[in-house]
Amino acid sequence: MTTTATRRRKIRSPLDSYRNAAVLLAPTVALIFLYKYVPIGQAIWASLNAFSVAGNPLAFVGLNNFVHVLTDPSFLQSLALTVIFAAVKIPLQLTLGLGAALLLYRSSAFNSFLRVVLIIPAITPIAIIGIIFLFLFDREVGLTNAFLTAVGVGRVSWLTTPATAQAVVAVASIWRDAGFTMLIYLAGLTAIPAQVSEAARIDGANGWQSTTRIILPMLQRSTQLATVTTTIAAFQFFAPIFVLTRGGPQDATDVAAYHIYEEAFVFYDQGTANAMSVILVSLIVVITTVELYVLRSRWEY
Amino acid sequence: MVVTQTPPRLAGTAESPKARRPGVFSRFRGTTLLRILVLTVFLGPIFLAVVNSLRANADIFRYGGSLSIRNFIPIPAILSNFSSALQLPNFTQQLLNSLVLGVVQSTATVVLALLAALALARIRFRFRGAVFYAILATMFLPFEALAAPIFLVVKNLGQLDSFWGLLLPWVAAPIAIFTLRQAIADVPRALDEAIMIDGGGLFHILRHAILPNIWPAMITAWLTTFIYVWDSFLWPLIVIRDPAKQLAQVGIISLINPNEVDYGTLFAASLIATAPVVVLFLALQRYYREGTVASGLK
Repeated sequence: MTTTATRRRKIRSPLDSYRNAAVLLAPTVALIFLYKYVPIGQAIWASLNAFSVAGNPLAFVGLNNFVHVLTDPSFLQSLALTVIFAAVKIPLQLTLGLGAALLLYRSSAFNSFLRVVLIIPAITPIAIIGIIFLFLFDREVGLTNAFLTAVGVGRVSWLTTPATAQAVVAVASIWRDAGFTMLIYLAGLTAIPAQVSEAARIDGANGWQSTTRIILPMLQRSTQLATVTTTIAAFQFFAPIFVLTRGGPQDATDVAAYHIYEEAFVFYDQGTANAMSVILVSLIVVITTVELYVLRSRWEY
Repeated sequence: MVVTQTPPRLAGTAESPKARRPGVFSRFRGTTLLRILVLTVFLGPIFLAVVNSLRANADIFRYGGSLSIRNFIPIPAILSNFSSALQLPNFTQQLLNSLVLGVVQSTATVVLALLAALALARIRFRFRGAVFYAILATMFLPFEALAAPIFLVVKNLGQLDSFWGLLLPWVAAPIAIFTLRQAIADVPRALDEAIMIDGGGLFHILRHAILPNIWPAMITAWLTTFIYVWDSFLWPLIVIRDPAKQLAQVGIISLINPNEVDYGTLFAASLIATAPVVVLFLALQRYYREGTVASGLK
């Protein structure tokens, strides 16, 4: 024991050195401070100031931007739209992701191939997802209108009708992200001990019973993770809107992220845009915190 | 919470004995029809993109609005869309920009994360916990929603319209730091001690104890970052004004003429701009998987 103790003392140096720690951490700490913490301060500061269109601060206006933003019907509408969008996207995407995970869980060559197929949209650049859906729902050459024409319904102007434009955007977003959710559930399924499903089978549970009463509760952790990540994605949803609808028609797809983009980079109103950012980020933090708590796992295995 | 999840396994995953045994999952066996539906829904749109990149716009407009078989089979197939895509102004330059940024950012992210993770996992110093949580806390903030204030910071630093403006805000990635810190923490400390007894310093520990054990996690972090960079849209859209400095996946959008979309060229350009990330993903899947199950000693 004494020899180990002396040795320990002798070999302490490189792993006890402040200098080593400082050198290794300096670039990361500097970058995180500059590009993560400074912008948070910047957002709060900018939201309290009025800006010229050139982006220069004009005057300190206190909470005026917040008053302005929170009484602006178009921003409130875009927040409401974002919440509805998330409320539609989350259950549909989780159902689809869980269904795909259960369907493709077993190992086979076809299942492995299908898992990759589901991931491909998730790694395809989001802008290109927009182009693909622009084509699918094109009035003249789109596949959806080809189907509708074939059954005699006639062509629909998907992207210039408010309700259908909202549907297209939601479908694009769910189609894109379903693979991510499937991966989360696949990891969860892999973690369930084999004895559990075995025991359920021996006790005479049929497939539906063991899925709803045993598998699903044991996937609570995955559901929590999938809900939170999908929420964050839904609240930041931007690129397909930019490609497909530019917030239109008649602001029907003007979700918060797009609204803030226009405020900051089309109308160049940095004060208002930063106040909106602060509100949106606070909303995301509050909602995900509630989700983390409500969906917490009550099971340990 | 988000981070303690074991990264999921992908296709080709070695079968676990559990998966082979008939269990409650066996009821999902006879569902080939459902699988074909999944295949159609998720591959169909991509298949159509490929088909239409291979034919003339006249044919796209002739067959596109119908369910005739000609809509799904590109006869006659042509490659001229690809050559006209490559001749688009700035497109090859933008592709190069995307590739350079993807490789540089992924590599720099992994190197920075490795250094930081080494300090956070192995070196004892005061405030280690505080530094770690200050870094980790930024992982949970939705930074896309903070694009406007980050833009102001980058603008004040004079980094608009530059490679640095694209790279620097995202290169210190808390998720990569966290992943590598976990991987390093799993390497037995006895290895460090053996190296130090032999007179080795921090560099030798990194070189001979840490790196041989965590490289799969590093490839995972590299690949994830590359996919993330290749997916970025809002940030390059607002930071880059000069088309010659733009990324391909953003530049493509400016090709859309709302009055008459040139789908042939658009799809050809899209496929060219998507190919690198898909190829990398398919090639590195194995490492991606190994990174997630890395344990024990090599």
